[in-house]
Parts: sequence; C-alpha cells; structure tokens
Amino acid sequence: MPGRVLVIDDEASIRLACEKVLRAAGYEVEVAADGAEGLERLRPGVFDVALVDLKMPGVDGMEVLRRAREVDPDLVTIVITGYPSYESVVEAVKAGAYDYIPKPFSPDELRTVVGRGYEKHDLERQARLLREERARNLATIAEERGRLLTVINSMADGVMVTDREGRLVLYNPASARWLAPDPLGRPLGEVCGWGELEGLVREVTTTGGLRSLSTDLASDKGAPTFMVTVAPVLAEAEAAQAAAGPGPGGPRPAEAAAGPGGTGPEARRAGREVLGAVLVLRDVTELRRQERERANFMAMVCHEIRVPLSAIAGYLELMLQGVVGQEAWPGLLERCRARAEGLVALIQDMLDLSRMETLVRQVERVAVREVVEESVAMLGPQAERAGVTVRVEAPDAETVVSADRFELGRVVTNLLSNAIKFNRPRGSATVSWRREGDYLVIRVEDTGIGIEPRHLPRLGEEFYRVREEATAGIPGSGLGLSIVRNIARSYHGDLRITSEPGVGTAVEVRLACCPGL
Amino acid sequence: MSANVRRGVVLVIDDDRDLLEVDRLALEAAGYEVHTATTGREGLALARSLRPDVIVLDIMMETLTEGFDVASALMDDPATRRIPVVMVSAYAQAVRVPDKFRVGQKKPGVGAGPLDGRLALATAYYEKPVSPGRLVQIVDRILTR
Repeated sequence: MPGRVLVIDDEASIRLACEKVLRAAGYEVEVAADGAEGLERLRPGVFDVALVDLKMPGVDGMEVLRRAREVDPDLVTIVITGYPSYESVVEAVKAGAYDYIPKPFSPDELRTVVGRGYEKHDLERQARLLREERARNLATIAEERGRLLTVINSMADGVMVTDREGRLVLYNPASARWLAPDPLGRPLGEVCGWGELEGLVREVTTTGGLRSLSTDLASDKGAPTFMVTVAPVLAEAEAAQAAAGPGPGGPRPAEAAAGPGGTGPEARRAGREVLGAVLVLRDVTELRRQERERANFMAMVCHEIRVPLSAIAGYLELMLQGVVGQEAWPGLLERCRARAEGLVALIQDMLDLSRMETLVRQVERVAVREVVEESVAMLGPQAERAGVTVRVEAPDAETVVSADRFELGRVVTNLLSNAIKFNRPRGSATVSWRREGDYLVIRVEDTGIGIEPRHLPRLGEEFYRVREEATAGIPGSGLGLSIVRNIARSYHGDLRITSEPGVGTAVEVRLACCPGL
Repeated sequence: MSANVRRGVVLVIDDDRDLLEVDRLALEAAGYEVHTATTGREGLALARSLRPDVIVLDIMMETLTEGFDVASALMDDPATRRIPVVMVSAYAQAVRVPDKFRVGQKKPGVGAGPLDGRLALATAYYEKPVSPGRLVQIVDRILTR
C-alpha cells in the first residue's frame, strides 16, 4: 500500500509542487488550501504523513497540529515554514510536529523529509499493533479459565473430575444424566448412578497409573452404550518436584502410593503427584452398531466363500476317490470352474466395496455415452452367450457429468450384467439415461424373469439374493446391487426398482452428478 | 459297494445346487436313495411325503436360520418328528441355536464347538465343509445305530 500524504498550504504553487514531487515518488497525495479544509480532510487512519504550512490565514498551522493530534494520534506531521526560527520550530514540535522543512525546498529535500516521516509512521503503527496484541493476549489469559469451562460444558462427551478422595469437583452438562442433583463436593459413589465408576476412580487415584480404564455400560437392549475412560489428574512436573521434596504431611507423590496393581512406570519415573481423576463418558452406541454390522458382514463373506469352496472341494474329492467315474468328470470340472470364477468375481466385488470406503473419489468430466459403450462392449460376449440383445437408448445422449468414471462404469456394468443374467433367451436389455435437474438418471430395463414384490425391499442388501427355481443356476455374489446402491447414495441419489414377475425389471439409479446450469 | 443295494432314503435340503449334487453323488454311490430340495418349503413337503430315513439340512438358506425353522416344523409334526436330522451350516458367525434343539447343554448354544455333532437327540450339527466321505459316514452311523 502506498503512503498517503495530506498537504495543507495556502500557497497554490507549493501545493502543486508537493503534489507533483510526491506523486512521482509513489505517494498518494491529497491537498487542502487552508487549515479548515485540511482538518476537514483528516480522518483517523487515512493519512500517514501531513505537510502543514505554519502560516496560514484562518486556522493556522499550530492549531492544525494540535487538532490533528486529537483526530489521528498516529499521523506524522511535518511543518513547512518560511521563517525557521528556533521558537516556531520548538512550538511546532510541542504541538506534535515530527519534523520541519524550510521554504524554499528542493524536491530531494521534500522526498527525504516525507520519506523519513513515512517510515516513522510505519514503525509507530507496528509498535501500536504489537501493544494492542499484547493487551489482547493478556485479556485472553484472563479469560482462559472461563473459556476452558465453556469448552468443557459444550462437549458432547460427559466429563467429570474428582479429587484424590473421589469427591466430585467438576462436571459438565453431558455427564449430568449420571448424577444426582447438587453433586459437587460429594463422593462419586454417592451421587453417581453408574456404580462401577467409583471403583474405577479409586483404582486410578491410588495407583496413579497413567493408563486409563474403559468399561461399557451394560445397558438394556436399545439403550445407548457408554464407554468411560478414567485417567489420573497429575500435577505439573515442576510442582511435583517441589512436592516430592522433604516435608511431612505434604502432598503425597504417586510413587509413595504404589498399590498392588502397580504404578504406571511413566508416573513413577516422573514422580508426579496424583491430584484426582478425570472421567470421560462417551456414547459409543453408533460405534458398536457399526462394529456389529462389520462383524455380520465378515460372517456373510465367510459363508459366501465357504459354500463355493465346499462345492469345489466336494467335487474334487468325489473325483479323486473314484466315487464318480471319469466319464462324469468334465461336467463336475466345469462346475468347479464356474464356482471358482464366482469366487473371483466375489473378491472383485469386495475389493470394489472396500475401494469405495477407502479411496478418494476422482471426479472428472465424464461423457455418459462413453461409459455406457464401454460396459456394453465388455458385457457383449456374456449377452451373446445368453442370447440377449443389448440396446442403448438415450434421450440426453451427449450428457456430460462430474463423476468418478470407475464408479459410473460400475453402476452401468452391474445393472446391465443383472439384466442379462436374469433375462430369457431372445430377450433384450435396454440402457438409457437422461437428465433430471442436477440428477443423472441411468435406467436399465430387461425382459427377464422379474422379481416377486416380496423381494424388492431387500434388494440392495449385501449378499441378498433371490433364491428361487428360476434364479438357482445364475451365478453372482449378491453384492452387485449393493455396490450400485452404495454408489448412488454417495452421490446423494437412490436406486429404484420396478418389476413384474415373468415380464421384466427396470432399475433406475439417480446420481446427483450434473453440475447445475 | 453296489449302487443297487437300497440302504435307505436320504433327503438333502440345501439352497446350493452344487452342494446338493456333491451330497447326492456321494450318498448314491454309497447305496442310498437320495432326494433333494432347494428350499425349506419344498424340503418339508418332501419329508412328509417321502418319510426319508435321514434328512441332511442346510441352516442358512433364504434367511440366516431357515434350517432351524424347517427342523422345528419337522419336530412339531408327528409324521416326521422321529426322522434324524443332520444340520450343516457354512455360516461362520456363532448362530444362536434355538433352545429346543439343545440337549443337556448348560452353555448358550452356538453353531460350533461343544454342540458339534450332538445337537439334539436324533439331530447332529456340523459346520461346513463336510466332505462327501464324512457325510456318508455320518449317515451310515445314524442308520446303523
């Protein structure tokens, strides 16, 4: 930011000269023809330097200096004087002037004097900012205690603090659900509805161990699950050193209180005094639910791997032990190959699922047509074997979306693959897409076996497969639609299935991936 | 062993066609007459009409525990209650076995471990994979008992 200079002089030639020289030197310049106008132009913080003629009609230079100091204390003032007498300069400095420049002056002199003034202004401004910052820091420290309490009170986790004797000294609203009214200063066991906590606190405060303890609150089914972590509150290391010195009756260092459970080695080394315990109570209901979901998923995965492996192992044993004659082997080996392929596809699907959970999406401009054509080409052989004709119909053919190409391709491939697998010979599968506002809608329609209404709500569930006479020979992991559903949801979209048994199925996936126009 | 020696009738209920086929080939080679069903409903109907000597029953079919429902229906029906049932499951997680299939067990029933092989009086429970040879052994033992 260039320096800003205000020139107040009643002589037009001086004003003009100053303006020209200073502008050329890179300053922004404003001029005023007398003291009154100069004071009018002065506003706090606008100018760095003011050049003030001492001798002006009306409001004279001295008066301008005095008033300018009130308006803008940071302003650096330089007086212009035609008669640089000692007295007038001293008076001007008393009135707040920083420097003076005698008339007549050369452009060089003017630049030097103003440059010096500008530097001084800059330094003073920085000094003032530092002073203000320091003042703010002091205020911050003064407020810290209050802030800390505000933070603790705002926490979603319950926080309780006890002293060494297990009396409650601090708690936040989130922990109030466990506490009797007015619990401060009373033993935790007396005021806390969660019985095990008292014992945990006693253990932590007497052993002084740095480790924390966790416990799940065994609660009713459906009730939230809480986990509590209890940690000792330890004195600062310096304070502990002072406390560890001689002095009977002084605070007890942790090392002196080593119980049978053992003091944490870190605490012993540090010799820090245990002041009490801090308890953090966290609602882990959602976490536990996710853990259960994951465990169930793993169990399903194991089942889905074990079944085809059992079949393969069974066929192999029948052959190796000569239970079936060699004339039957080709058929059995073909089944083994099919099941092995199914396993490979299952692993691929699981990798896709895990990729979606862990990888950062790579969004780019994608032409839907390209993605669809790739999928159609890839599934061509499968469609041919099944005797299914694949058609592509697209009202909004040239739609370009912002999406991850891999994910979009997976949606089309999985849907089209289903439309081919669950079709009938000489049937057809039709892929189309259109825009609906910000949504891309991909529709895959088939002339296949259809889906009984009772299965519809569960489609998209991981490993859910329609198990009926008509679907029995059709391979699949039971993950294809759930991958599509997961992708759709991650694009704030959904999966809609309409079907008529014996007639066909139409699946529509909506993805919010069209940038708004 | 000749396949035309009729040693007994076995009904295998499993929703996986290859596992059914493996069991069928193994049991037929061992001289049994084998019938198969791919759903619980179909299996129940066959059990009632055929009165097989042994039923081999998969647990997890359309639902996680469909096999238990089938076993329960078999036990509730006087026509089928005496048919020994061999339960097999490939589900890895501990499946809670309904109380009615437990005999003399103090611990909560789970699909594996101490319950394996002796789930109820005339019922056995195995975790897959049960090899074809092993299945023939199990069925042999039940029928010669």
